[in-house]
Amino acid sequence: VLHFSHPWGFALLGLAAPLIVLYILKIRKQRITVGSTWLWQLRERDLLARDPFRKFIAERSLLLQLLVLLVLATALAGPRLGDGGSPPPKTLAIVIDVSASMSATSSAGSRLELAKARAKRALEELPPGGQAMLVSAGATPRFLTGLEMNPLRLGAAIDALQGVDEIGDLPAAVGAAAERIRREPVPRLLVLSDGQTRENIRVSGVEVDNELVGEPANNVTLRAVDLNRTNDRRVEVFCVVEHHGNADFEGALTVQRNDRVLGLRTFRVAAGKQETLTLSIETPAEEATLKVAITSEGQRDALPQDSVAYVQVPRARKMTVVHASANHASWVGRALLADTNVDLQQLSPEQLSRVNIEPDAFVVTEGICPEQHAASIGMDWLVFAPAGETCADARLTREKGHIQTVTSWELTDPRLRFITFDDVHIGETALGTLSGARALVRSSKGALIFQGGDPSRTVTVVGFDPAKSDWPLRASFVIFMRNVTEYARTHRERLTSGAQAIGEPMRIPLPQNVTAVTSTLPDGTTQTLRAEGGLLLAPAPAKIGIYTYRWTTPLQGYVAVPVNLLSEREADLSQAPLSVTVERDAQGRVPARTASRANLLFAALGLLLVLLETSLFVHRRRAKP
Amino acid sequence: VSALLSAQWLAELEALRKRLRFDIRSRGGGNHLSKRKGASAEFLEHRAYAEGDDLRRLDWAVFARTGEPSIKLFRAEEDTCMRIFLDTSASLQFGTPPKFEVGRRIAAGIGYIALASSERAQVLSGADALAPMTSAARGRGGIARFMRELEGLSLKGRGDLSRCLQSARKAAHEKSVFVVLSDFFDAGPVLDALSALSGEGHTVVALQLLAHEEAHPTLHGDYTLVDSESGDELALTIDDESIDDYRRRLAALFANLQNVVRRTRGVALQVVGDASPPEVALRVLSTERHAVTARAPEHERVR
Repeated sequence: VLHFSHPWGFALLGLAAPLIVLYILKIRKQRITVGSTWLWQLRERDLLARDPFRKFIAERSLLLQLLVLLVLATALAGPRLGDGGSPPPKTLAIVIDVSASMSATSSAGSRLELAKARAKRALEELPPGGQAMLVSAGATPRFLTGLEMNPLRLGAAIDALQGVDEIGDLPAAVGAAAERIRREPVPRLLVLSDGQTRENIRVSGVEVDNELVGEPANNVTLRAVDLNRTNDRRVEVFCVVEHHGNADFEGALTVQRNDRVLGLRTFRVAAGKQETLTLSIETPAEEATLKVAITSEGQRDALPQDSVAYVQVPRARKMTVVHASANHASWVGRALLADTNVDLQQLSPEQLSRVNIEPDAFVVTEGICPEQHAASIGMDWLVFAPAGETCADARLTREKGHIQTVTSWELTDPRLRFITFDDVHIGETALGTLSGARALVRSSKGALIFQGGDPSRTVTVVGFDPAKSDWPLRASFVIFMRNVTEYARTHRERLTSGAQAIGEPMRIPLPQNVTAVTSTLPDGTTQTLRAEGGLLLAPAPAKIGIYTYRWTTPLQGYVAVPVNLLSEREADLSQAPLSVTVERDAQGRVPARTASRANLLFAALGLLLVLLETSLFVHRRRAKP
Repeated sequence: VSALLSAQWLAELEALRKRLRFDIRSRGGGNHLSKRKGASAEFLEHRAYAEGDDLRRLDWAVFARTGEPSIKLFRAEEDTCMRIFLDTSASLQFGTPPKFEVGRRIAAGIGYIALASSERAQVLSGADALAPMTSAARGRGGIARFMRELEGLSLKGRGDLSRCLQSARKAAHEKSVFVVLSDFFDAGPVLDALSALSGEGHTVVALQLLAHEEAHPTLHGDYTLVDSESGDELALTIDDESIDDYRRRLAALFANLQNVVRRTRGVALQVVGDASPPEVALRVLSTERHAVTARAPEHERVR
């Protein structure tokens, strides 16, 4: 017994009427030369008809063509073959892809709108007593309803469904939905997507109907955006533009700040190719949010979301460095003074807790550990010869009168790049016995230089006073100071301009003691979040744009996080059928064949009949007129 | 001998020649004894001498025995004249190979048999009127001229077979074997013209030349048929019924031909496709009524 998912497919049988008309309609006669028409002439009087139609003769070719039509119409009607006829589902889980590519629009509307309309039709086909549930497949699956028998609630949930700018994870959503309904009576899964998922989806014990919505479309996307501040006044913006389409694309790349265009560059990218573009623009020295956008006058872009990206311009390279020391003419002080890319602020150890220090300053101390004086100041610390018993999660052991020789160091750590400790001898030192900290430079007695275990900032502790060693006489000391400064600069830039993957929860490091944060989303809505231990766990962003997190206590500050799509999978709007493998479940339930497979069976049969028709009639008529 | 006849065909025709028997006499001198009185060595009868008779023919032995002068009469010797008419209307161009070429080869074969048997053979041709003709060739010495005349024939245009046959009949002053090679697709009184030949004592051999697709039409559907001779067009829907109708008309035409030539002790044959001269000659000799068919190769079938 066959059941049909789309009975309207039989409308194709309407073509039978014009087909029969073609058979009885006299076509233009073929001219052929014969020896003499004399013997045909009397026949002419019998057959030369004036009307455009001739007598209907049920030819074998016509019968075969009608059969082809019937088979193709059956294939289009979505036949379902199953045990005892595969009854209509009593439990239906509708999985709707809500990923960014579903926002792509065509003349028929957006893919998501088409999917919602199809979902409503599926609800109408439910038998009396049937139940359904709705699952959205974004970056993470979301159960929008439980198993629900009330079609009004289900319809309302479908209406409320909105697309997100996320990279979809359809297999996870399908798997979760299948697991939820597997033990329900006569379960079936309806997957509505636009075919962006290329991996095979394996489902156990549930019949699956997967349907593609929308149509393939062209799309131009920003695949990557990065920037580099060349000096205090200029920033270079690097972009990779990718074109998924079938014709060359001409457009312009603009960089805007507060709706003011700072730079524009026209470009042309061939179909299926990438183009790397660089714009050099002038920006003020302070932090700024830039919007990078692709625009085109003539050509339509089906998915505007991935034609826009946001980047955060870091403050000018001059970083605030606070040097807290009793002797500012020390080796450390001199090394910091030699760096022209820092704003050096020299303080005494007592001033450290009294002076208002910028939250993102790099704090360098000699003889004191900042956490004992002002634990919340600065973003990164470099501590030399700290006094006290502990510093940065490490317990300090004093070694006096013993010359320490470096035995090993971390070659891969960025702070120790291009550095060698050969022939460096160290006098008095505080060796770190580490718990949460990580050793960077070791002697035979313990860690000479180590990294503290504070997750919100980088703390580099040098256990000895450079003046009590011959290290400052080596080139490696100056290189170390430069490396640590660059390391702090990189950390600061990452906090403000580092891109956040869309659809994943955000982990934002904040200054210690910040507990209340106000987040502002791209659409302007705000909400209050709680931070703990210098870390803010923010909800996963669903829309592209700049997400801003502000705090006022203990000191005012903010972090701006740009969130962009930049996904190859979502950008490619060509469609491919989903690959779904249905397995038997542990209870040995027989998974029904999917409609698409029966479609293929009938379509293949139709193709076979077409070939038979061609070989029987077209070929024979050519050979023997 | 001629490009029209291959060496193999010549050998076969030589063998067939020995089986020929010509009953028709032309009244010209020849190798065959005639019922008429003549000057051969074959005695026929005596008759009483009449004044003016040639004394050299007086049978002196009879005169001595009976005392009555008697003249000795002998039988005459005559030959057979083959008049071979080849239709040169444009419709003979149709077919693969063209019916005209097939007809010319058959005419060459028949002419060769006659001339090699020391008979006479004459080439006649015409489309809408009888073409100028030369005298009949005789014996082996005339084979070359006969073949040259055949090779020199060409197709002319629209045909009027009955008119050609009537002209040929008027020009033939002695009885002969009239071989007519044509497709006989002519609306004129062709059968009457053949009957007239019969009335004057000629023996008629009618060879209807047909292309394979004319004998066995396989067309199906709507066509505009173009007459290869006149260029006239005929719009026609061809189905099984009309094919059967065509076949009936073709069979009726051939049956009429047979009826006419049978009265002349002649024979009518259908030559379909590419038939060789020895085949046709054999059919003529065996006087079988059904057509000689040579199955056309697949690739030569008309589309």
